[in-house]
Amino acid sequence: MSSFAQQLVNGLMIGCLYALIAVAYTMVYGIIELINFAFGELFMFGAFITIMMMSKDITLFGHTAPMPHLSFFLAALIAMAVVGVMGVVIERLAYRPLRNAPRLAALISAIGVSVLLQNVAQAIYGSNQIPFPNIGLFTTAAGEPKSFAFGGVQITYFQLFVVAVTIVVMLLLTTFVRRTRMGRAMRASAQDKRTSALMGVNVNRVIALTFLIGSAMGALAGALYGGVYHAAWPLMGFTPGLKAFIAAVLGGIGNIPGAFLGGLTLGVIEALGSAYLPLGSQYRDAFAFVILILILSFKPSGLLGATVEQKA
Amino acid sequence: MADDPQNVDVESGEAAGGRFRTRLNPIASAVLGGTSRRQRLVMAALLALAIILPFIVQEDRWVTLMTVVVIYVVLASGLNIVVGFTGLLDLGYVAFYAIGAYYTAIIFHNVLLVHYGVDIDKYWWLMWVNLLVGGLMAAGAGALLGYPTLRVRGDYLAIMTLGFGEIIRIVASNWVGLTRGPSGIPGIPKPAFLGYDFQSTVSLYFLGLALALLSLWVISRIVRSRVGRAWTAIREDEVAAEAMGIHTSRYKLLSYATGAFFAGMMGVFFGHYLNYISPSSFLLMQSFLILSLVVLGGMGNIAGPILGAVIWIGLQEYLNNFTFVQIHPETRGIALGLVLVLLMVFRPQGLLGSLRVALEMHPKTRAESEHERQEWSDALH
Repeated sequence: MSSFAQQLVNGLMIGCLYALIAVAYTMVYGIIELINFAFGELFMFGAFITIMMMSKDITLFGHTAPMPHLSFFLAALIAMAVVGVMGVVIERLAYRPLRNAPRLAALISAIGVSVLLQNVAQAIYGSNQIPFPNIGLFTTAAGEPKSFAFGGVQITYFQLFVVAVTIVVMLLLTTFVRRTRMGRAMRASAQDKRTSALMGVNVNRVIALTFLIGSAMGALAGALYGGVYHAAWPLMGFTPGLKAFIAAVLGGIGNIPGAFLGGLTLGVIEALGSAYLPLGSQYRDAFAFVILILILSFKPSGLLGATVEQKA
Repeated sequence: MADDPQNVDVESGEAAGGRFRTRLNPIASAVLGGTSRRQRLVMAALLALAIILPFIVQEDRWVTLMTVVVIYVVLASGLNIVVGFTGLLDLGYVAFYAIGAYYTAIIFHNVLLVHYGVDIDKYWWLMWVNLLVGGLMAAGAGALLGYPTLRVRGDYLAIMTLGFGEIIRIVASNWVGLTRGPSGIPGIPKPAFLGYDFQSTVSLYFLGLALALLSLWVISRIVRSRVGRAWTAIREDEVAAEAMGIHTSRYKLLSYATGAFFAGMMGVFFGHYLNYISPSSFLLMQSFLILSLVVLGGMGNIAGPILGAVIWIGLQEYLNNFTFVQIHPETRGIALGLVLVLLMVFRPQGLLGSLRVALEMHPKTRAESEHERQEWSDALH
């Protein structure tokens, strides 16, 4: 039983990370109907930039460069800001010129950006894993993660922190979209960009803001993921990015609470599946894909999605 | 294979509306209709070159490179059916290639050699059967994979295929009992035909070339048939196509299956050509590479993927001679990503781009978008 609860806790924690990226996918898809494959890579850059900011020095392009040696919190905030700006620049250069073109063009551009960023990261940081520095607040003097036992389940403080941060961020985002003027502009643009523009919404700015927020969420997830697995590597973003999109579809694309629910569900299914299914741990990465097939076959609108996808 | 596939549709295109007619008519005959003869000549010249070149270069290294190019020509042409003609993004195309390769490897190695312990050279004819069966298996997988996405937008296909590409690789690496995992399957026999063994590099090249010509001929016939016109209609406007009586689901499945067929067939050839396959031949990056060949040459154009494969694979091999590229393999990935983005933004029709694809991908002329921008800013102030 305690093993089951342990898997559940681990699943919820990883599910929170999926949820943070899923929010990015869901917001962008909700407004410009583009699968921005690059979020997985922005997630990866989030982890790398956090490591850079936390280190005393780091090897870039094969040369050692001095770094500011900041605390995790400050480093993660800087990573979110930098990656947020990266997201806005990507949108401006690679997606905005294609907004009126067929969707295929933007999708190919998105996969191009993803390939480009992955290889740029490889050029900067090398293709191997680089270790994530210990975070003082969550690490004992011996370098072990601080944890506590709760009913036979071992929970680290960092896991608790991940869950807490995700919940707070989700609440803030939901409030932002529901209650603020800019949030209303976002919802309006998601429904009809042209009419929103006629009503005085600066649609370009709304889309840029969506990319800013989404990319910052991706970077936050990357920083936390790096902290959980104690490493960052150039290909780390690909699979979590793919899974996060599936989580967004599972929850109902365009729906922020749905992304949260989808992320948690996916995380838990993965953790339990790899623990209890035969060969589960080998085929762990296949579960998300099976879920995608099931959801597309039986409920394409997702768990919380009200409207059915329209074609064309 | 020489015709521009678009020329059949000139009348219907002109009939579609005044806008199309006024913009196209002066150049329509030149670009859409009139070039077929010139293109035929160019293609004939290319074919002659493809036949003569191995005897001129003589070195095995170059003939091997040409064989690789020929394989990629078929892969890119097959992917072009889905991406270029039907307008749907397939990001896991290499998975179908893997299906063909693993199918023939498992039949020859696991079944014939290990299980029955027979002399596999006696079963040379089985390879020719497998070319077809491997293709059909890949086609089945393609249709199965596309089926769940029919109810939703086409872009879900991109995610499905991306996931499938990864799963095939995971299965190939982990199901050690069947695929021998990362160590791969050796001992796939060289192709043979009625006592003639395709042992030399040149003979293998010509076998690949023959398969490529056959594939290109079939593809060029299909895309100019009723089926091909249905695919193009789906690409241009799915709702309108459906309204015109095209069974879009059926034709989309047919497109996935046809595209996958050629990958599966080439996978079988690849297995026999190399005598050995392993999961490292079927990486995700390969799918992106094949996609970029299609995009570079020109989507929705028979000659596009050929040009794309010749230029890109040739360039890649040439650049591999430089130490810098050898030390930094990521430069190839950076170039690949840049090509995809830059082409989409500035020249979505690719190098050979047909005018039809160009107009579709950049639906608004400069004047029109200026006008609309004016309209928007008027509305805003």
